[in-house]
Amino acid sequence: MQAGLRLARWEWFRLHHRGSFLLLASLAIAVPLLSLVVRAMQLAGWLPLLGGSGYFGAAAGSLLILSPILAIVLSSFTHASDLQTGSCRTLTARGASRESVIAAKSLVAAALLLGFHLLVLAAAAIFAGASGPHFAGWQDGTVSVLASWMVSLLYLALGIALSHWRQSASFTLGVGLSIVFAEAIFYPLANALGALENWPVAEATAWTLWGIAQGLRGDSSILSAAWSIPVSIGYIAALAILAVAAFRKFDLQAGGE
Amino acid sequence: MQGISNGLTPADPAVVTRGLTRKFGGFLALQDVNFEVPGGALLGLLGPNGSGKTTMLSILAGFISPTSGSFRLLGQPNHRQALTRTGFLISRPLLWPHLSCRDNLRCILGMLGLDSGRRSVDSLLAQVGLEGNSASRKFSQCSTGMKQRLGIATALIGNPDLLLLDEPTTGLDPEGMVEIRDLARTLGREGGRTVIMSSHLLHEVELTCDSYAIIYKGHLVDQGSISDSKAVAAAVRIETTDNETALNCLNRNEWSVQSVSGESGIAESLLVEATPGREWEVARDLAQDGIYPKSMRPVARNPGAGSLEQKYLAAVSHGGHPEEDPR
Repeated sequence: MQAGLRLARWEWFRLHHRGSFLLLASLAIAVPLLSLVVRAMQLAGWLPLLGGSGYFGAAAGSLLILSPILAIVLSSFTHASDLQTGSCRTLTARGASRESVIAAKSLVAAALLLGFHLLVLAAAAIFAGASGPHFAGWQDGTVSVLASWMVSLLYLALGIALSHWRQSASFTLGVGLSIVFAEAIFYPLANALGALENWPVAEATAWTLWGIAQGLRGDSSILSAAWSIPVSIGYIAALAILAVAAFRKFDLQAGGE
Repeated sequence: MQGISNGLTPADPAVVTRGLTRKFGGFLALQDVNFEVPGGALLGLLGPNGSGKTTMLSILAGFISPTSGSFRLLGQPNHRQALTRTGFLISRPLLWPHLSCRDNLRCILGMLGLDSGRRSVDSLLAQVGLEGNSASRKFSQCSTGMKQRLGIATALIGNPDLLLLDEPTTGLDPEGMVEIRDLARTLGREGGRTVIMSSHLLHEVELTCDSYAIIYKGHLVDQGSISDSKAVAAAVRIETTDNETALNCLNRNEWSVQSVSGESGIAESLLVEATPGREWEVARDLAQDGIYPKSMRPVARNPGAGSLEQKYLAAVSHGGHPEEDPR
């Protein structure tokens, strides 16, 4: 545990540079802008189902789109690219346990995602405070934002497992983002088709990452939000075990020859 | 041999492998390698590209697992424990490009739970000649030689008893190659550290190491002492205006040198043992004392014995299979 926290501290040190701050600053600007767009679309009646009402609902709606994508991108950065070019080899060659290396990197990534979600929540609070005195929808919005963080952890675990499977940032990005987009497009269509034809498609898709994410956000007719939390923890644990198993089993490339 | 660390003596093997085999799909990268490196040795692992050198070092460093066989580092049954006393340089050091040399080292020291204070970092950097402005330069802005030096500094973290250097001179210019070779020699001599350095360059191993092992097509085909092969190494006959001063200078620089006297008993020339390619180093050492040779001629010695080159060619001519009994 202590070794994991020490690694996490230094993992933060290596991420703690101008590029990371630029990325955070860009997100800090992009997410409120996206929230405003979502809010405008809600007001225009174009997005009645996305996120919920008010600025908090708009922020939650933005996160609905961004969280899984951001989690996959972050996992490729903290795990896959570091397996390709960073500290994983150096630490492994000096006897560091592979489990603690994974744990430290995952801890930092999870903390960064939490930071990002809190940033979005703060931005929503500023917009809501500026537009009226009552911070309308803050309770639901806060729950939605925290649920989105849980969703992002689910996809982070997927990204980490992919990273350790192929040790390639482009593989993690390619496959991870394909899964995110394919799920977002095909499962709602499949569910709609299933509902028309009376096929039990929704029961099946409820157990996919997308389905659990829907459950966490309270949008699933199969999985309640309360049940989605232990299920997503189970999925995260299973993906983490896969990542550790892959890291232990697969060779690390040493260059040369 | 002074101060073999952690009780290792040349008699105690720093590395032992038994039947080490590694397959990549259908390709046998290493086959039944039985190998011992005595403590304090400076061993050159020779072989052409793709012969299995990196596979061998990667197994020892814990990057990959052998398909079969076993190995032990520094007499430790626990490999992870042994790795805490082992430094490894991959042929192309991979460090964080956005961090400076100093911060890269700080970060790795910190991650390993070692003292990451400025003094420890600067001491490591000084060992590899990366001081002053070089230490503050970003890794991405470093020359290949500087990156290689920083890679070696990384390998030196924790003052390891065993150093595994995988083709440390790859991509370097001739001057950089000499610097890294000198550094490897110095590191090998410090405190009886064991150094295994892979290379496909015969003269590099000859100039740097005191023993060699040849790997070819995954087989260990020969292992021996460089001094045996150096018995055939060329010497350089040097004439200067002041051979006595030149003799003192070369002795001081640890060259093996012999004075050749004429009938009058006065030293007419000096015979310096220097393998091909090192003649200029002799000239450099003399020039540093303001002595400039009138003539320098290479002279072959013990031409009957087998040089490392001959041994290498003989070893690989068996096609990577141990010599078969003709009966």
